[in-house]
Amino acid sequence: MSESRILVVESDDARAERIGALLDFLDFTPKRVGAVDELDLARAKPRDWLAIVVGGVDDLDDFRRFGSWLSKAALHPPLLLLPSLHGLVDQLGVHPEQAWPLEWPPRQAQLDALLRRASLQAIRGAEGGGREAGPEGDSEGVRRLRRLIAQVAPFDTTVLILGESGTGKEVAARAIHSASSRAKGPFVALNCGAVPAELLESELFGHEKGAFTGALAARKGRFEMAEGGTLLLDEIGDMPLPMQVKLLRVLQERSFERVGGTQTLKCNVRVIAATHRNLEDQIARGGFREDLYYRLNVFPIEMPALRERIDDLPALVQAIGARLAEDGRGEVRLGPDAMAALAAYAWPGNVRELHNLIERLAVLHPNATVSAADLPQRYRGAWEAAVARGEAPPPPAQRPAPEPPPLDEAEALAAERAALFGAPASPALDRLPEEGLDLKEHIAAIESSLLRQALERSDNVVAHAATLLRLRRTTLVEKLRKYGIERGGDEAE
Amino acid sequence: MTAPRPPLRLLLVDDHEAFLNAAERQLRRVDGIEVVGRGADGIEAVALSDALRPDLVVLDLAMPEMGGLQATRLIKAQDAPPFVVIASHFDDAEHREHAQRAGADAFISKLNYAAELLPLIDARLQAARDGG
Repeated sequence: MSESRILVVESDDARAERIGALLDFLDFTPKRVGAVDELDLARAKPRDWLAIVVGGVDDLDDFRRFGSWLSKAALHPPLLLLPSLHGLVDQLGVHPEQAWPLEWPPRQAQLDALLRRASLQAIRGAEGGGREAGPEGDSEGVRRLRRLIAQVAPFDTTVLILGESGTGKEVAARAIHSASSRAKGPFVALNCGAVPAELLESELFGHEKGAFTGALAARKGRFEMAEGGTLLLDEIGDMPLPMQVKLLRVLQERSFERVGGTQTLKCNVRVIAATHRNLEDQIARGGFREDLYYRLNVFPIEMPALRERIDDLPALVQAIGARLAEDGRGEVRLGPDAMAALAAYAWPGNVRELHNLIERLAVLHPNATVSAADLPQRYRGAWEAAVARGEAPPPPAQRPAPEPPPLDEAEALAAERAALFGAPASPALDRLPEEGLDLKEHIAAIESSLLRQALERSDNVVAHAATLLRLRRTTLVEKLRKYGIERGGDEAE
Repeated sequence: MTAPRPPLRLLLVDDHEAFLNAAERQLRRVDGIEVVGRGADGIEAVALSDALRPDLVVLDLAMPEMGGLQATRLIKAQDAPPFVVIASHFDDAEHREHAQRAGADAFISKLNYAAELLPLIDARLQAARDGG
């Protein structure tokens, strides 16, 4: 495996030496090739390199083959291009967003800034797991989630995805994007919690050259990168209040300015926001703007926690294992006792925690059957205790498929909830009429229809209707007032 | 007065062999520690951490196959996981934030490896003394 994380493609010796010396000075040990045919691509992966510095290219066709090989990766490492190539970006076979201009003669500050950016991008790419399909499983919770995604995807509505950490909020956002008319456009994600507050504005809206110390060149922000596509603002609950004001303005006016810029840029971006926080609590504490909340909360989607959809465990394990195998990891097979143990675990970290565990097992027990004893203690404690009490539930894989009898109270309750939430309550709304429609009015109609149905089904008891709609009671009251919906009967509370 | 204690057991992981050689040479002079293993990527780090049960693991953030952040998540899933230090070429708020989110206990700059690692080792040794 290559030790060097930076590749220099340069046919000119003197230039190559100069770049190499600068990289050495920055404590990198670059690997240099005169042309890309010196690389053994059969044994390499695009992500082996943090960045690829490209100067003199003698054979553009040959390079393009390398470019298309790189482009097979969802997010290939950036190409730092010397000026002679700046006009040839579209002939290199790479994603244009990943072709970054480098000045000549090279300056340490610029090179360092670009490599730093490449590093952060690689980290985010690895964390995002860009190619996750899903959501996987067949539990009622996931079926409902798929229905919601299918319902909202065709419209350009803002979506708010709520749910505990690790429940796959980005997977849901990507699914919405892929099922929308923007599918061919870019999907861009930004974790608002992972970017320091003072950098967030430039990350979102970009900046002009010299806008602040360190702004060496003009740079596009996420809104510009997502033009024509979808922007996921993850951990929106972590966004500082001043940025919330700016975001609200963009959502209202569909335009913004770069940091340090005077030109107003129009944008055509669908925004999906996600958070694991309770935004209503945050509003009450003054940490989140109510007006922004209502802008975002047009179509909320609640991600089910893994413990609420534990029947999906075998399907999830299988899907995660298959992806790891695709990446060249060993196959993971769980024995029945291991599966039962994992089904009894509470999964505070949800699917992400499951992913980490399965990946760990793939490293430690490749192509072997994992038994409960192979699991770390925390993953088998609950099951072992249940076995000791003589009441261990069978693993989900072994449950009879048709009509599983409720095993305990919690499960009976879950079944009841599934029955309550099961039926799709909304009218068929997934096709845009020929003549178009007034979206705001349309969504309002859906919302008020659902509110009425919920009230009806719960005998006008607002608290029950709120439960049906997964709303807080106060929020529902607010919405009823907004739509002028009368509560038909007496209100017990 | 104190009885000799078992050394603090270190696992060092970096895809750069020369870098590990240099690091190990500097750490050899430190009392109370023992480098029990070396790995070249995140996958080796997970396997070695499980097999050797070190007290402290230093992981390079960027490595082929599996980087230090993902390795941290997998290592932290084991019983009684070790203290995990991420060593990163880039040291800034965003890189530190990512390390913290992955579950790492500390963050050091690779450009200042030994100098930043030694105080952490001292603190672990002190903690071991206080703890038992």
